[in-house]
Amino acid sequence: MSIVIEQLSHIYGLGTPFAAKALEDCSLEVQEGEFLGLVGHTGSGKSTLVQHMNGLLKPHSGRVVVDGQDLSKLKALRDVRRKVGLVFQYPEHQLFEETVERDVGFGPRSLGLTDDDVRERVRRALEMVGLDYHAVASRSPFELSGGQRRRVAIAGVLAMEPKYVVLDEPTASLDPRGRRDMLDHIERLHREEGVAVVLVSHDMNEVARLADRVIVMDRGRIVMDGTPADVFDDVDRLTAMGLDVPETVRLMHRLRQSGFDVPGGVLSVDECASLIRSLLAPGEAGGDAGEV
Amino acid sequence: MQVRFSEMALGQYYPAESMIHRLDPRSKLLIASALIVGIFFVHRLEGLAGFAAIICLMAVLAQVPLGYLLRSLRPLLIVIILTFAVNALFTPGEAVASVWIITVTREGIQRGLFMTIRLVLLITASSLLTLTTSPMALTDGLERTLSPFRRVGVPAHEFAMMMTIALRFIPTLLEEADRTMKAQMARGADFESGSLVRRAKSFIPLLVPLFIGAFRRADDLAVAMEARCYRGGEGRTRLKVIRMGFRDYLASAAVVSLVVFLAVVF
Repeated sequence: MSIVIEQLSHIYGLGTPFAAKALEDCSLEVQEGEFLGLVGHTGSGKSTLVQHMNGLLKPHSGRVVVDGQDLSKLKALRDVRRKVGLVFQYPEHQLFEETVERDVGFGPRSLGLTDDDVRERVRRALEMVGLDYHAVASRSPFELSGGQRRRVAIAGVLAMEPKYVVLDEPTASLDPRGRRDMLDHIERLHREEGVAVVLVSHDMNEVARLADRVIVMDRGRIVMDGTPADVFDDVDRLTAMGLDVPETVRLMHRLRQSGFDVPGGVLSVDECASLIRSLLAPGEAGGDAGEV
Repeated sequence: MQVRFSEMALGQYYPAESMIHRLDPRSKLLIASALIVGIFFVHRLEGLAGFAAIICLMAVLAQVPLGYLLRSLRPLLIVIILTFAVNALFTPGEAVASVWIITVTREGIQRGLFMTIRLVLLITASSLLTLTTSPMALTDGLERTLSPFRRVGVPAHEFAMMMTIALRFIPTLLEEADRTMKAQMARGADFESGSLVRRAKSFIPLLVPLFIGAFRRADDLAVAMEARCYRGGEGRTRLKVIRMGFRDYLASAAVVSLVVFLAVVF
């Protein structure tokens, strides 16, 4: 079972002088349980693409199939939206209820669950984002801090118990600590609950560290699709698209440019460190290019 | 059906480089009001045909596709049909067809046709103004038109500033409404089914975030304006000064005299 996108194209404002092609001939598959990083320049079509995954947008051509169901042939998209949880950018702006409990429970209530089941789901969802049920449930979401509010909003999506979670820049404008916490929770969600995660991000370090697979978009097209090691090895191509590469990759690239014999595909800081250590150790790795 | 706020045509400016687009907004305001008043003064179909000709000519000069102009009628289609029906059914005269107690008269059809055409012309005339004038130019023109009345207490600048801000935030709010709606749909909200009460209730998750967002933006904007020393229109100069040129006087005079001619003759 998976989300399959085939030759998808999308045009905004069709039939007006402002028509703009947002997606062109995009094909990809999101496997169950996988961690996919989606990167690209602002306006490259990432947000448009993810809105197709749960049928919020309709393709102008091509099709989207979720777990064997073609979205264009479905009458009600509710089941699909429950299966594919989509967290928008700045999700804290969609909070509206008087208490955290009611806001997170909004989705489960619409499923027609009993009060006890709803409460249990709210408790679990809050736990998944690292909030203590007893401490926040009866408070107003608007008196929480920005980071906490974002977590409550994400819990609102997780309370639907989706199989796939798509997060559109979940760490945007968080401080370094909030960022780290958020990513830890996302990683745990993937590892412990087995949820497939699609992470849209500008931060290549995040993506390199977490994703099993990376997709790069440029001007509405999917231009690269592969393991982080493969994708980030093409430093020149990514730079030409106005994208960054992870710090580790950049360091390796610089070393290679100054004549060191460095293997490709080194992503983690630990690997990087041990590689440099072996370069510095006398007698090993033919590096006589002096300054390091 | 899915509601798409972002695709709603509001302000409906049609960007093009035509002589009509380049006219001073004040002369366009004058021309549009002259047309609207003139259309009310005419009592014969020939007169309306004259106005239709003027509007068509201006649409061609403005390079606005006719289909685009007619699209502005769509939201008022029900009103137009109702106008025709009411006139056709309730005007006494020679009966041409009657079913049960409903009678359609010849005079009724004529009158209905006349009223419908008049309504269509009124709408297209005012649409032509908004299609060819950007909202900014329009408020600028309004401010300049109203400024002589400042002495009698008309807050022309404040009025124009309010309009400018409102117009500027319409697309932002529509976009935000669109996004909030999608976000709530993504977590199970249903805006389309259920009874009327349920449907009205289902808009709470949309309206609350929208209001909060609007207040937040208003707050930010107020601070940003004060930080740049905004204190009303007193002594304020502008980057783009609009000036009435020969072309503007000529166009206004031509249309106004045509309108007067049509109004007097028909």
